[in-house]
Amino acid sequence: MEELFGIPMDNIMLTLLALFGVSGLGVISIYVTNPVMFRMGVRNLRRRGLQSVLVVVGLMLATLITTAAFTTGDTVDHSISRAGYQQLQRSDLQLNFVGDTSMTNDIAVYFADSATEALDQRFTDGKLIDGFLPLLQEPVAVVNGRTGLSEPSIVLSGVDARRLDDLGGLRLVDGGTADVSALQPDEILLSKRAAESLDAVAGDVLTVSVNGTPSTVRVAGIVDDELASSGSRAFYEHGAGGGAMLLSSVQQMTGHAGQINRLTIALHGDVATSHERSDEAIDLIQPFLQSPEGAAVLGTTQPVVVEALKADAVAQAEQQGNLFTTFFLVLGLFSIAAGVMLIFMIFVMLAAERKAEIGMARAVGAQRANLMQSFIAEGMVYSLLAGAVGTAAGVIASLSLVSVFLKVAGGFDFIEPSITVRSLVISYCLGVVITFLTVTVSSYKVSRVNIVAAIRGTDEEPPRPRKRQVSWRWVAIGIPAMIVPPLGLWWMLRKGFGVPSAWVVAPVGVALGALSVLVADHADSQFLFSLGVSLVPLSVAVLAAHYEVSRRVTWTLVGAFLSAYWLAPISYDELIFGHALHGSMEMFLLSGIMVVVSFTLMIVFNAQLLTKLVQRGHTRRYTASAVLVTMTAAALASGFALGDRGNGLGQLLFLLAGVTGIGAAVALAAVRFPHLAPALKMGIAYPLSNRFRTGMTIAMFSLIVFSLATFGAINASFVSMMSADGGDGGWDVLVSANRNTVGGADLRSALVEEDAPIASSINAVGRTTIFTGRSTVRVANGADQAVALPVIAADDSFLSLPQGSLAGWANGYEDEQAVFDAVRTGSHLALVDRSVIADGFNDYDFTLKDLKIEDDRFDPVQLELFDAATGRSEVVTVIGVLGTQLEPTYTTGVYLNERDYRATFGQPDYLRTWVRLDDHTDPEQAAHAIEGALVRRGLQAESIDGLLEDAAAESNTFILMFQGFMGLGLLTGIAALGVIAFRSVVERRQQIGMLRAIGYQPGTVALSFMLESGFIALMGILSGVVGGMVIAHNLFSSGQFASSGAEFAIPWGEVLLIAGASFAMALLMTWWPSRQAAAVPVAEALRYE
Amino acid sequence: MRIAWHHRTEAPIRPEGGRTDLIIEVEQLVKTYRSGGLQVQALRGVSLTVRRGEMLAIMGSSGSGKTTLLNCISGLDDYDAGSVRIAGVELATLSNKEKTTYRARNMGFVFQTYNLLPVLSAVENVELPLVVSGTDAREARERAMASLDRVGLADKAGSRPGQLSGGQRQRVTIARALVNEPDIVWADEPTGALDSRTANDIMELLEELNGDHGQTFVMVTHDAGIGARCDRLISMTDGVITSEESL
Repeated sequence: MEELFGIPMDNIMLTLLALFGVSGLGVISIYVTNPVMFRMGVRNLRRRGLQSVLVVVGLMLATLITTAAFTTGDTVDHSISRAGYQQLQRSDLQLNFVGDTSMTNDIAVYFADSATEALDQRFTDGKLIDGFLPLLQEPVAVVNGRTGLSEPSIVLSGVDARRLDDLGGLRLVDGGTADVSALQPDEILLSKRAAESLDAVAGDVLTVSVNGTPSTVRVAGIVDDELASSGSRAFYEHGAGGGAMLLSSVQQMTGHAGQINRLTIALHGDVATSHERSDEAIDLIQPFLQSPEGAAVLGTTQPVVVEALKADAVAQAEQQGNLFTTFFLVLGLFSIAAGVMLIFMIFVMLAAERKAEIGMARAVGAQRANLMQSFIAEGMVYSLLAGAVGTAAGVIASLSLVSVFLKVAGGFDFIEPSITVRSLVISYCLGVVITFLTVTVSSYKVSRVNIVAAIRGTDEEPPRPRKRQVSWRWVAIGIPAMIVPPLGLWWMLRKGFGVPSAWVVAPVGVALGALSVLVADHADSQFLFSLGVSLVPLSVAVLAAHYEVSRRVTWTLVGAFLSAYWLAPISYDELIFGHALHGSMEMFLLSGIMVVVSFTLMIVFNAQLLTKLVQRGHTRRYTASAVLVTMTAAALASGFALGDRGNGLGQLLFLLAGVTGIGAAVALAAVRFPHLAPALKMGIAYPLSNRFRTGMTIAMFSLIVFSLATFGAINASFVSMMSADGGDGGWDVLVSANRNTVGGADLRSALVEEDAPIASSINAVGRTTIFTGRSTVRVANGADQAVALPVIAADDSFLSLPQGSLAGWANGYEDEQAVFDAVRTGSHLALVDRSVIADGFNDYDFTLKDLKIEDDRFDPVQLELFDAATGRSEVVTVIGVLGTQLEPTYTTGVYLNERDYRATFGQPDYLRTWVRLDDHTDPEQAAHAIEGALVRRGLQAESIDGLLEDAAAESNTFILMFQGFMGLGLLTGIAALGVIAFRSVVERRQQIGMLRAIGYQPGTVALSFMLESGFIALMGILSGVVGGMVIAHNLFSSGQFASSGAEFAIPWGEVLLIAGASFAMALLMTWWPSRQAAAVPVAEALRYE
Repeated sequence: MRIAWHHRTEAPIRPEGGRTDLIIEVEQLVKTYRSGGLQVQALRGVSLTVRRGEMLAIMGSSGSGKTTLLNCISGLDDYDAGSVRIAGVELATLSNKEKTTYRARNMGFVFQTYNLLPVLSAVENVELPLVVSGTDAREARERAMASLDRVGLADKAGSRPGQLSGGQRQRVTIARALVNEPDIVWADEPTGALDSRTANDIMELLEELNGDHGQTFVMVTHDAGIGARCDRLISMTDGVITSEESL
């Protein structure tokens, strides 16, 4: 991977190394100038071994996440590149007569094979170009006589044996190289994939059918799948493989004597590096080919370009790797943010533990800066250790994720682990620098102590307001520091002019928020708008707190405001600006953080309400339980009553019932088991007595659970959509033909001719063309360039789809039937499939941003279609969106009726046939029957349900991997709970002693500690789940996925698993310190100070 | 609202052998602390008896073993040799769990540093011993209120410890110690953290409670003035009782 977020990785590494160096120098300077403070800090590591281990574990998590992200990206990049090299071998460049080949491999242009020799003589020099490789590749049907297994479409590849051998030949699967020159005219070197599907071995005799004419060939050996053996260009091409024969044999079998349809070019160098000189070679060859002399050599008038086949594959690998890293890093930001919180918390707690020492040090003359030096030194040692452990753990985590989810579950065999030193350096330095910065900030906070209170261990009084004094020194430092505005402002206003911190933070926050809102429209950024709206109340609250307005009221109001803004299904930007602003993945991150902040604020500032649940009243002790049980019943009843209406609102009501049900259970437990009530109350009250610590931990849990739950819900909603009615587009089986099949255009007749009983089960047959590679599309009257997009001809039968086949239709048309009638019988009217609508995080080249489906209706959009081959164009009006959920490979494009298509794009060649069966026929079995009957004709049949299931399974694989990755962040929250629990045992030793003295059994003491952690974890989990589900619901009801046609669905099993596992792990983490608490010797604890 | 003092309805665990005059019998008690290679003999064969209803003060300088003695005879700490019988029950024969239950039902504790739970209100702190010993919730609350009333803090029942003065906190601690009507109340420097006037108030309260209900009070103190207000005073030096004086 060479770039991240558009920044060269080398630059990132050098910057981080520099920051790492600065941090290191800072610590070395502490050692040199103040060795006592250095030693005081560093020696703390050995004081509490177990705690030090826990601290390192806590600190390493951010490094673990970044390392895992980079290593996964490296692995994906390396694996795809490697797969590309293996597939392409010496084919660095190829001649392209077709146009955009990204969506098709089925279009062929034939030209004279004599061109090879002419080009060879002209360009092959052994310095830049090593040779040309002519190929004639044709899809054919094959039957293995020995096993009876057949494949309707494998690629028969005619090769020039001498040239291929000169360029390295073909690799035998058992090792070594096949002697292609020794091939007999009736022999074939079968590719591994084809051999597997035909269960073929060397010596088997195959029947190859081209246009219905059979020939017999003998398998001479099994070779790897690559361009020359099977036409396979990339790892993601799931074809059935192919086989290499002598060029002359294939020319004879397919009726293309003296012709080839693929010419690749081998550049000088090895397989992995030769592509680096692609541009140089293209500049040399392309002008000639486009000249009249070149056209004469090729013997075709088709426009030709030289395509950088391998360099493009490598670039794509880089892009995929980058995508993984970026995606992981963005998702990992939740965990990294939680990790930073944990680091901060750990140091605040370490300082709290050493409060007396700090007070003593200050009393004997240590300056605040000296204490900071001591903490920074200690923190740096922790950072260095944690960085190393985190990097190693990140590598292990990444390799496990990739192996488990991609290789084993996903079946991506080509994945091979790869770790680069650069990524490790970046991850390590980033981890150390993040930790170091956080430690420095927390050192600043913890070094501020009241000396007497620290020594006596009493509560600190709030600092008295100091008389404002101007420090011109800080003013002078602050002015140049304005290069980094927050730092400059802070130094100048706070340190220089002594302005209260609230009066620095609040106006800056309000100004930034207002500015963000103002520029959001211009920048078309929903992120800026929402950030601005959220910053303003947070900033105002800081000011309110300064003037001692009730903190509970202030922060509760802020939490409620943020919740209302982020969770209400209202597009505020649309209300204000009249149009929705653009938002993408960054909104996911921001929404997560803000929802978590809002919930956390409301929870930690409303402790009183929660403790009421376990309050043991006298006359109304069942009141809380009764209210909660009633709420639970009401939510359940409303959910059932609502059913499927309201786009999943009923499911949210079930979730609410779950939350209130938990509350009811706790309240009932407190009443039914009164001896547990104090433990329950302490379980809530103790955490809430330290809002900062508890809030941070709740936020950590909540952030991670939020991201896991949201992802789970989005995935579940899309998967349920695939299996929902209409997802199949109204068809049961897809039959694909190619240029060498027989009877592909009339499936029914073909089946009748073959006496196939399945013919009688077919209710309807519709036909469509495939991408020609030459059509381009743009919005009519728009300024955008036209981009490649299939324009598809659909016959009348295809345009007579049943109700429920459209995801939406244009205003002015009464129903779906009216839309189909209009497209079928009218002119210049079109349908599009769902993949061309701007939806969710859809990032295709072409998207119809102005087509918004609301309540199944949209305003019609005009498109301008171009045919590069004929130079003609046409303007059409889109009046319907197909509801099919098949992968875009099968469906993407603009659908016209046959007349309109012919007028611009010529005679349609129907290569796809869509079959609707009667209700009693199983699509899977029907697909088998159709393919079995027509295999010799080269027709391939697939059940559409099967294709949807495959797509859902693939989506699940990736989502699971992402969730697995994000789940790593849960470790952060769990480690935080462990830290808090250990700390609480130390802090409350005397109280534990007292409880034991007055009769608390050890088990009850342990239980109360477990309950504390349980409460924190439960609050974090519930707020994360609720926030995540509401955000996901909004995405589907009114947000980015509103046009997708998917209904919001809560993955109950997954949610319960996430919540249950998180809760269980949290309790497990607290189990040890709880046991310690229970085992505290009473008398010793009572003496403890 | 003032709530009447309720006498306990549930009988505490009583020892076999019925009621005798001696409630605490300690013989040749030895306790040694070990830290690293170092051994410190905190109690070197201490013997003493305490009568039911007596108010005993244990005095001594720092390190004399007085708190260790209190911890050992109250069942908070184990001892190495000797015997401790509380109301005829040999402590060494009780399991850890039984000792805990015994403490919950028959003993009350007052500590120098109050040791109230800051997250619970005064009344909730007071009712803790009742709750853990399984008393009905309503009854526990009533008795806790009554106990607070006895120490003059019924009006502060809903206050958290942080909202109370040092003297008030110690009164809450005393209310908690008395709420289960224990046979014995153990007090370790009950006035140690208080100013002299508040300390005097607390002592008056303890004397009154001792006089009214005949509960046995064993008090560790280094304040001679406090010690002088008890029925009997024993002094300790280096883990042994050096003098005993009835007042």
